[in-house]
Amino acid sequence: MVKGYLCLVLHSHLPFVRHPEHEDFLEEDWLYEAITETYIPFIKVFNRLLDDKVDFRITMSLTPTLISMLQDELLQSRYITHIEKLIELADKEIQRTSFMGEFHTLALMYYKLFTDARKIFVDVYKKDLINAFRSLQETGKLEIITCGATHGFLPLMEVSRPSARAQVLVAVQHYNKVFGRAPRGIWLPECGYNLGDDEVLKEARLRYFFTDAHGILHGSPRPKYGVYAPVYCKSGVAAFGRDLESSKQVWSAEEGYPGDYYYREFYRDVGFDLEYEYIKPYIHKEGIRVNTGIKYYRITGITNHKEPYIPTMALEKAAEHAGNFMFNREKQAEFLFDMLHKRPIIVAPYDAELFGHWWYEGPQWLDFLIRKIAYDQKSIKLITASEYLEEFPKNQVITPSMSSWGWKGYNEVWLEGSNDWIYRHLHKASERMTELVNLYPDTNGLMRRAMNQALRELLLAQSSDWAFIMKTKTVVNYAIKRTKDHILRFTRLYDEIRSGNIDEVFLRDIEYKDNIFPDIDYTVYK
Amino acid sequence: MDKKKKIKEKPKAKSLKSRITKLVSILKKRKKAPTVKNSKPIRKKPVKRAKKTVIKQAVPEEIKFKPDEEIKKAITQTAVEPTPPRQEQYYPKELFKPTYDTRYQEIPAGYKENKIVAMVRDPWWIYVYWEIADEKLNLVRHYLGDRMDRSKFILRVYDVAGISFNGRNENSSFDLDITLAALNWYINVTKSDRSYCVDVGVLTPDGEFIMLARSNVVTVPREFPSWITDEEWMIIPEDFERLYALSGGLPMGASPVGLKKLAKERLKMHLASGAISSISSPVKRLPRQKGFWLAVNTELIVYGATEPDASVTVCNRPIKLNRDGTFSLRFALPDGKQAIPVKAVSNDKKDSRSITPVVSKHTE
Repeated sequence: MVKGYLCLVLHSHLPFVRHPEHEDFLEEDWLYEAITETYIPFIKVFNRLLDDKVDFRITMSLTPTLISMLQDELLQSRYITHIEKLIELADKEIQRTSFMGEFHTLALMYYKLFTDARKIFVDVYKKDLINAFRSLQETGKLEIITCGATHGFLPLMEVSRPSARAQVLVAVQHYNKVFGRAPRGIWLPECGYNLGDDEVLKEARLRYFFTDAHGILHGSPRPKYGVYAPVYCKSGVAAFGRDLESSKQVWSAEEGYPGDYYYREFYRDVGFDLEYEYIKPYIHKEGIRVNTGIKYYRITGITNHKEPYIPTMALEKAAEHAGNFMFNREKQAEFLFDMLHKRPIIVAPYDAELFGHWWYEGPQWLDFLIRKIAYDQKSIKLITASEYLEEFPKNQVITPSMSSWGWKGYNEVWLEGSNDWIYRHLHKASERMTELVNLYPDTNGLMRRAMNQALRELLLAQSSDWAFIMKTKTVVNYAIKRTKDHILRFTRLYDEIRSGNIDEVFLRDIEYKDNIFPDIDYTVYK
Repeated sequence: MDKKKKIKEKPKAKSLKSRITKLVSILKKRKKAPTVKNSKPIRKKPVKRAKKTVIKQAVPEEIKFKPDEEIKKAITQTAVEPTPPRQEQYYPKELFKPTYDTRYQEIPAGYKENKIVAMVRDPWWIYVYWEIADEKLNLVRHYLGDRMDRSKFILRVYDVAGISFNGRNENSSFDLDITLAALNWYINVTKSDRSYCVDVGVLTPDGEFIMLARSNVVTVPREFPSWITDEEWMIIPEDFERLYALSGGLPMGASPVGLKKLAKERLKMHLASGAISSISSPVKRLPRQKGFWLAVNTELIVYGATEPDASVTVCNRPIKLNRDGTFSLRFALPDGKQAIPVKAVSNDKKDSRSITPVVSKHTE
């Protein structure tokens, strides 16, 4: 008998990084790596499940920035160049490792992986992976939800409500255009909820969103079922709380599955390990060593000495971990069912890019998990949030508490010494956007283009990724530059629009560079 | 598709390509002049105008009347796509590189206004940033006269929970000494689940407070569960504690120890998933090796040449020859003895030669 439900949510997001003005741009690699290591492996897993007629339910958020990049012709053609270089390198590696059996096997594995990826990308989906996700959604097994237009962090937009609103409305319009239907739910960027955000979701006709556990637990009045049943906000939009137990097993750096010693070591890559002249054609054009994706070692242990990776051993581990995860969910569901006298829903959201990219075996783990749930037990069932709401339409009404899934659970990741300076400018730009819309409630021609572009620049400046990078100190200069570039482009447009004197050459240039949301309509900004 | 390869195969495309290079180089030249003009600190002439003049001077007769469309068309023709791709694929930026405007080089420090904005960081901290216009400050200076020197700048933080704040009816308030030039401050508000409003202003020695700007009202979230329960969805406190512990990822059946304690526990072990965004890793990275270290690997290069049309295998694996019949291969070389049989067979399969270098390596 089914004792409870498991709602797996994969949040897929990358910031909009596209630089036609540079031939080779380091940060564009985020997309290319994620295509090969995460998105294509997921597509393969889901399609195999369909072929084998395994029933499953997965919820996946695809952010509008990610969708835009996956559908961008320039980035598509650059990905093909990227994967072809990798195929060439893997081919050389097959030769180079001739006398080293374990590495040779791995070189062959990578060669197959990359040629498969190329085939799936080019031949099967005609360079647009959204085709894959769209048809998966049509089977009813995958529910694709939306996110903030550029992943803007809503809790820090309290003084710029029109921006929070635009983040949601532009995303929903974009989703409609891409998938030919309306999204049912939304993944709030960084799981960040602030009081009143649900009103905007209601306006956008979204039925549900997810919050972190304390968003529900600290909501008022007390939630009778904790995070194990959704609640309705006063607006009527449902909120599902994250279950931390299931998150911990996958996320935790200490106890999580991805740290297993048999799994592939992320930090040992031939891009850094091999002789410079040999690897040079496959790293950054300026000779900077980067990850290529060919990695030969397993985690091995808390040691700098690394042993070669053995795929069959890793696969066994993935199966074992899937079994362990399922077992724990069964016990959890049974316990909760007895306690609540109701089938609980266990919401387990993860960053999609964790799977495959960081945790190489992640997609295989998911494959095993889904198959085991389908065949090896009876206590739990996979479900989407929409299906749950259909089965249990009556839920408690509470006001969730402000929360996010960031470190410490609130806004500190995006508001601290390294990044707090941006809000002065972001808020000002939001205010100015309102001013512009009041100035031109309707317009056409060049002025309309300028107004639309101003909104694009504002949204791009709001990506939570820039503040996040400043905090984590990874590619800080790039994040600062992106924030400033978009603010400056916005400001110049603002000045020109107000003076009624648009420099068309400038406008055309930034329309080319920041070409996200070609159909954006600035009048959504209110 | 590798575009470059395709271009090579099409002789027509090659000439086109050179034509484009030529055009682009000419166009580059025509850009140079305006750059010089722009380098002047203050540019009073309208930009477009300046550019036009230069074009007249610099562009040779032959391409002067070439409309941009045609140039773009020439470029797009090098593509192998059946449908003409969008032109940004080639980003011919020389064609429409915008004029550089020095006014938009750096974001401003402020916007010459008088305001203070409050933001929530978490249940215990709020953040404020402010900007005070010179005129406002001068007015205050004028009003205070010589009292100004003995006054200080402060933030006055009002607890305005549950009220409509009019500047006098706060529940309580406290002051923080600040430097006005700091322009932002983190304020510890001690009580969660309350609303706050912040004034930035001047406090005189005799206790007079002159407000320079007042913030928006912010509400920090509660750090504990709510005390309110609703009748329809009643839950007994013990059950809620158990559920709270469970929902927070604490072990099943953990003994109830009080919600406040649980909330603190939860906080300690809160999983920072946001920190595991796509561009950072949950997988622990070991610290770099400490102290001095050395790593040595060896690789072997095997190279040679034969007739360009011959077929060659190395270690029984066919290899591709360079156009001139040469080849070069690289092997990672482990310790031990390795034989590398190289075999070449002529195109007509009548001749063949074999050479097998044997290499042995050991590490001491």
